[in-house]
Amino acid sequence: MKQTQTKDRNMGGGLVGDNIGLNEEVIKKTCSLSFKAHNSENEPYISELFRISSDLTEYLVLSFPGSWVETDWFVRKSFGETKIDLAKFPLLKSVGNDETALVNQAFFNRFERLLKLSSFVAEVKKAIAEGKQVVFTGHSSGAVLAILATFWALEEYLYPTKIQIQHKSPMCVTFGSPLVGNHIFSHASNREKWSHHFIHFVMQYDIVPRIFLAPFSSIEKLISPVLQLLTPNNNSLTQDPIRDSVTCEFYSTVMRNAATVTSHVACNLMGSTNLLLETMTNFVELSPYRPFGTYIFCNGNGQMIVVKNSDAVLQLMFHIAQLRDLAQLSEVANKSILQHLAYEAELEESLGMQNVVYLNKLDDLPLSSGEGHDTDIAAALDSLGLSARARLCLRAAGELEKQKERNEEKIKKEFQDKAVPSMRDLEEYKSTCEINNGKGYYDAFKVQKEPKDFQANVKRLVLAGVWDEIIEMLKRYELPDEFEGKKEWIEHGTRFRRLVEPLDIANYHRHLKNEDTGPYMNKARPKRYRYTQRWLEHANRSPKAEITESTFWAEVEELCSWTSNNKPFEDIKERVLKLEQDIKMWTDKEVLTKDVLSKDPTFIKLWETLPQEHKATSCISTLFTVKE
Amino acid sequence: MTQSKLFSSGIELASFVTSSTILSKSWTTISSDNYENGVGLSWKLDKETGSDFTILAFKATSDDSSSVQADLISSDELKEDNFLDFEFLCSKKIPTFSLNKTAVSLFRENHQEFDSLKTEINSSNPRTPLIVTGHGLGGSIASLFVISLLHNIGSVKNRPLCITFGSLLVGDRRLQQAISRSSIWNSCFIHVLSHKDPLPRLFITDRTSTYMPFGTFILCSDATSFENPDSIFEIFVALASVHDKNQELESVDYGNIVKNLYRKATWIDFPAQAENLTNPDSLATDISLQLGALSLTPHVQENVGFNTLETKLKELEERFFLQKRILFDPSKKLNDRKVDMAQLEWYKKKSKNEQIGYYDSFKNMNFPDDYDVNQFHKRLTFYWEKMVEEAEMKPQKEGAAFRTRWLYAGTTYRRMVEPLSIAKYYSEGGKDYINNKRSEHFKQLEEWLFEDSQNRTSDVNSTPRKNVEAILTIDSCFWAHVEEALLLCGELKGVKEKDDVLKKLFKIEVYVYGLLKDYAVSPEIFLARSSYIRWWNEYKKIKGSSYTSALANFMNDDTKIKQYAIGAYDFP
Repeated sequence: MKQTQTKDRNMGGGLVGDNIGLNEEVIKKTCSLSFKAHNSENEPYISELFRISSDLTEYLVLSFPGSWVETDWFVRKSFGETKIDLAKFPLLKSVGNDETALVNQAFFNRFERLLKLSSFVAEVKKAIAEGKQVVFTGHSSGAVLAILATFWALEEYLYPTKIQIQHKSPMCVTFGSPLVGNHIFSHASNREKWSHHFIHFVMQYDIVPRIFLAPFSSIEKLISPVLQLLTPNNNSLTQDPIRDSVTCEFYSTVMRNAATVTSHVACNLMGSTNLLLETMTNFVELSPYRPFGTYIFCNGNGQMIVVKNSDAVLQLMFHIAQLRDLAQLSEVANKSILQHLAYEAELEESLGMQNVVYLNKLDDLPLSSGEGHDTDIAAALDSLGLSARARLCLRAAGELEKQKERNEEKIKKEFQDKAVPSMRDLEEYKSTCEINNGKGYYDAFKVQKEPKDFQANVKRLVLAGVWDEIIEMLKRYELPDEFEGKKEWIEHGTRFRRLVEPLDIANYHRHLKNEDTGPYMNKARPKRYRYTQRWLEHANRSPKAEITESTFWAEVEELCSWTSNNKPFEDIKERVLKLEQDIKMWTDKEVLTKDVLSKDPTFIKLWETLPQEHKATSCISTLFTVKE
Repeated sequence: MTQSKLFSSGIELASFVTSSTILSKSWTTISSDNYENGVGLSWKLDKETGSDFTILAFKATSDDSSSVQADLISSDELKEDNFLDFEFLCSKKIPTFSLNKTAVSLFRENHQEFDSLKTEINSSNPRTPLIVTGHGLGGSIASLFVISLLHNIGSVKNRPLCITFGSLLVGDRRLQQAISRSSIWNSCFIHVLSHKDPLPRLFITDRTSTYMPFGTFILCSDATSFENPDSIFEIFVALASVHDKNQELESVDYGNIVKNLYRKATWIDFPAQAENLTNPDSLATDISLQLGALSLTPHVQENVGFNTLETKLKELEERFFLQKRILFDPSKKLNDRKVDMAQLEWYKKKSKNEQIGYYDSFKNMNFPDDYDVNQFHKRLTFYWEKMVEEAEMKPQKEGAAFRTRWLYAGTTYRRMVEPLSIAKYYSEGGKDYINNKRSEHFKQLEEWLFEDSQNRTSDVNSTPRKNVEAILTIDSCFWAHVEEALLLCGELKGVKEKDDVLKKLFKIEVYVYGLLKDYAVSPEIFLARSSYIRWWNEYKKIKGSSYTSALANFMNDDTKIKQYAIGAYDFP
């Protein structure tokens, strides 16, 4: 049954330049500079400063040459991935899960060499400070440097505490870039809202963006002749039988491995529960690399297809480069090499034609060309030769994205219905305890004497239920990538952690679990607090704190049990000093109220067992002036 | 994740399998030479150094697999015969299942050689992943061989993979259910078969057939896959009706099929403009593509009724998805149940302040609070019954991990809540709770704790003495013993032969004293209005004030009881 729908339903609308936020003229410029950089191989990069007619912005384009040396691509291990250096790229991780991004080691080594170049660093710094629009660009393995340089510049000059009004976020434009990193690249750049800074042009059959879907072992023997063929200006472009057999085998091998990994991903997108997917990972090597950012596929006829969903990009990478039948092999394999070098001509044509299709509403993509509510989309999908199977994969990618949004909606509702009132009650509990008992809620909760203490315990458990569900979803990446970067959730999380974690600690010590299970911090701290602490630390770019304003109670209890067992003060002196300094800082900042501490029996017990000479000089002795 | 829109990932899964090298490598081993000969079977263990995996291939010596009979042998018979390789599959829910007799006989005749094969495989170092494969009847043996390995697999790294080509089915529906108990077990089987191959369908001729497929099926001409056994069954029936009537038994060349599928991984194997794709529903489209891959297109099937098959499969797939997704997820509700436990804890505390203890307070049902407790009691019991049932369904290894995770919460639950069940039972006039009424799940939870304590050094039962005030009585049936003691005291008045009853009472006395010595009883039992005190007073009356015993000695001295409560009393 056909449905009538409005025509522009799938359209992001407008010129490609407007849509991606970079003028067509600039794109053409970056493309030509990308290829120009290859000619000046001895330079680590070339740069050009210019203006375009239509606006006042001054552009600085930095373009990096490619390398066709095998060791600049592969480290001779199956996929050659390594954990990225978080000191240089602190955001390339998932925050709560604390999962570090994986990056191609050979590429990363090359980038590190670039970063040692003080002239490069200085030029970027100056341009950003002067409010210029910096654009990093590159073709092939040069593109990789552009990508990593962009992440580095974004982190170095534009993170929240450093940014100034005149600063413009750098952009990255790549042509035929190989894949650089794993799914965390996409996850993290979505979270930081940096995805739109990365624009990748990929020709329909260009083999380079697909290479890293195959393990090194499968292409080892072919790689050096292929790299030679991929080198711009190489002189062996004539057809010969050896060349033909190399390209055919290379294309087939890469594509077959691409088929394996894309179908594995597709099964997961479709929600398959068959554990064969897991069992098979023992027998099949699966590439960890995934695309990220905005992709613009060029079909060779001047049409451009813009896709932002990275799951969909991966599916397209495989499906649009497939053969129609075996007779095409030699022709397509040859194209897969030639197109890698054909970006300048292709862009010249397609940016002029402005035949652009935006694949936005993936979840109800037409499944066959006959289904024509949007002729542009249908035609574009047909021109790419997408089979019904491929379209279903794209739909699944779109559906998953939607599902993540629905999950967040569900959580929001749950949060409003359950967490908000419980938090209100606990706030009230805290202040009543301070006023009535004069002892603070930590102790009251630990003693559990009155009905209100019990009510507080129920609220604590309700909140734990809501937050544990959020954490579970995060662990499985079932919430939108943006979630952990959202200010409101970071604030909710921090407020929750500060108010409720002391109760969890009190509960833990009330049941004396520290005696059989071990210290709270090592053995029992729930993920809901570990994650929310990481959120705040990530947002503030502050290092991981061992003891925080919500967990110092655990430290107080630990120290207390130490001193009450008459163990020597000297052994814990440093910990006591550190705790006292922290407490001073928190009370000064008013994250903690003085009374919470100075009237708490556990804390007083600790204080009283400390040596007199220590107390006299302690930075928090003023808290106890009345008592002493 | 619960997705509201469904897809069938069958084609993708098939592509995942066929584009990898596992099928062609398996087939290469199958079609190679130098097999070792056994009884009616031969096999080859292919473990080249440097290879990614070890491949074990089976061949049946008689080359006519199609003459194999459909006769079954039940697991009970095998057990009687003291053949226990497959016994671990039996469980309370699936106590017995049946296997193909011919395949099992072959397996048994070569049993000793198989054992040494297993030793050889396990001794390889470093350990490479194992593929067990075979064609036709050889495939059935491969299936049995892998089944016999299942009870020893835990981690992903240890999972073997069984790959059969055009293999005969090996068992009935209950075998399928026993294997499907564990998604992990079921994930170890890939069966490749051609839509033209009649052999795999030999035992499924119509809907009344007892045989049932398990594992994942890669069905081709163009490859698609199914995991749902019901769907596969339906397809078998449909294929049987389409092909078998106008077809001689032609042998299918799986080598060629595998080669083709491998090569085709890089082609567009499904038409861009298939007919009939106007359906906006993704699942329906998926299924019609899958049937197309099996040449079960509308033209072919006049008799099967294409639309009926398509609709039926769609229903089956939907149901299969839902079943898998709504699987009981204990962690989801755990926090809710913790709230109930907190409520009970509070109830216990309040009752203690009333000098009665929560056991007796609940038994008496004098206050609204006591009624409220009913619902916590009900919800908790329902949750844990379900939980225990779920854990029991799991195969041993998975189940064990599951049990360890929940054991702590389960034990606290049992000690807190079973007294409520006891109170309810005796207040309604019940007798002999332990033998007549005690719920299975309490017994299971206790048993698991026992098993667990065998394997670990620190004992969950031993708590530091000074915490005795905070503990829950270790034996969750304590109150049942007290109730029995009270009933015995009552009986004593009516009977003439008192010795027997007094003996029983003395036994209970010894039991109680034993618990006290271990600091295993909550001091709440000493509260003035508790059933225990009521019993003690009655018992003392019967025995007379001059009665001496270890327990009497303790009970008669208030200071000792007080000291006990703070963990300071040293029993003589």
